[in-house]
Amino acid sequence: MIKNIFPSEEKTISLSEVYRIEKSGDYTFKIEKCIEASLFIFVDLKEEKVSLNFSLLPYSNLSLTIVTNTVSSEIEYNINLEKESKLLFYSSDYTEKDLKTVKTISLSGYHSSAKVYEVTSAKEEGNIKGAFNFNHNNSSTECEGDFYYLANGNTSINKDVVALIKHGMKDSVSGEKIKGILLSKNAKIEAKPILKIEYDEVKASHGCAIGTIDANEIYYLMSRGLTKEDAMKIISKSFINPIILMASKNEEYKELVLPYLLKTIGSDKHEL
Amino acid sequence: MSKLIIKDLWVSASGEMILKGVNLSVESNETVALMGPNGSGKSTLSYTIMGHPSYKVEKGSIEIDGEDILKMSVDERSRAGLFLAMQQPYEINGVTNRDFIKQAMDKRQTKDGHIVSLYKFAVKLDKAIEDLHMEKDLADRYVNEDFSGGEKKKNEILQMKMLEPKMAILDEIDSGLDVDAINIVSDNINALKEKNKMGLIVISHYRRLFEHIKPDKVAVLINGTLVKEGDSSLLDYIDQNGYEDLKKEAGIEDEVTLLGECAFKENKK
Repeated sequence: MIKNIFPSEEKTISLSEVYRIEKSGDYTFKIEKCIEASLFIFVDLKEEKVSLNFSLLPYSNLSLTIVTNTVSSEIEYNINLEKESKLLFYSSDYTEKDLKTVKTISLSGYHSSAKVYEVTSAKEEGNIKGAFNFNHNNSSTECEGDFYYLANGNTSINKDVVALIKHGMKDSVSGEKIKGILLSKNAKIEAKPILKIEYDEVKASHGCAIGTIDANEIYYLMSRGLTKEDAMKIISKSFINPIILMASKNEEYKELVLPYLLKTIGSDKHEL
Repeated sequence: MSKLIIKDLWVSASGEMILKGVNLSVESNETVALMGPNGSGKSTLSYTIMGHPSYKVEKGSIEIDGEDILKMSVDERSRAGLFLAMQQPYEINGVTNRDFIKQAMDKRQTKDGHIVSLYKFAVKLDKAIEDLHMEKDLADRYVNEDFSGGEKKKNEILQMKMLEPKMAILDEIDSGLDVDAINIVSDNINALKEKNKMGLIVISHYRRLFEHIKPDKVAVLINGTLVKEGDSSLLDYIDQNGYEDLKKEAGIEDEVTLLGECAFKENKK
């Protein structure tokens, strides 16, 4: 069942829950100690500003999927992980116009870990700015992020992904990969993977590649009979497939967000 | 009955002329073995037939059933019944074999004017995977990603079995395959040829493949020119003598490259 949540409300999550957010405000979700939960959130905003706060208590495990559909809005996520807690986070942001996002994952507890898969795109004239921060505030913390930015029409995407490993955070591991796909001549993507390392005994890596879809991949698909448009669409869809797969774990949620996920790649129907 | 006709084909890539007046034809139920030393233009010919944008046709024609395929886009060529099993198939991260092949099949209508149903597609795909002795999870793996060399080649044949082309060009389909895999792949190619009377251009460096896929005609391409055509006895000749005598017979000298202040590079015929 899809639930509504009201601003300033705090929810304690157990098992699997689905929420829809449509109004400005601060929302807080708490995952109790030792609980394993799945949380699906759909954020549908027009000229609004929301802040979503998540608190993972020790030994908790959260699978979090957030799909947003926005017009001229601002979104802030603050996710705090305590000792031995684990986060698997799938995030898709689509905007009809401007969008500003600041997402921060704080690995505050010893041996806490986060894995992130994020897809961001805008309609033809959209302008997206934002940052994704990983703060390693304790030792033996791990994070891994895959970020995909899809820019069409006159879209402009400007994002920083920042990993901060503070002094003394021994044996922490941080890795971030950014892939920007330019789907038109006028689209722009400026993305920076940034590592701020204040201690020696850690592992950190980053990578960023921005370009058009590989011409050889398009050729290969066309050589089997797909048109160029179909080839580009099926390759673009590959970026949101992991999120569709996660969303599919809750049938009701999948039905709710699928049209918005498909908007992300410029398609309004599920063809496959 | 289909026929692919290549006439006086001149093709360049990166400003260099690679094919120099190639004439070749293949018809339904016919197998042409295309042989030649490395760098002779065999892959250029196959990519040109399949419309790869890196290759520019300077002169000549390629027709299938009287239609000029040089005017067709890559996807139109595929839907016209052409298929290229590539020497080095591309990897596509995030796109599953199942999604990709289903979409490719949806672009083709069945004889009654409909697209193949999901059920029939699934049954056919499972059968093709089984026929090729491939892992069952292959359908849901990303196209060619983390495939071994042999799996990639089998995946090309899997796609051919699903799409059932009129004419297929198999570019070194045997490279990367062990002896057992060559038998399996060859059996599948022969079965599809038998079923659909498919025409084949088979490129290989090794006679062994042609022990399984019997050619009706053997064509030898050297330095961008077809220097000799003959029956399967030509395979034995090449196996024993290599290409040197055929080069001399055709008046082709090795490329001469002199280095120094007055360095030049020249191909002589």
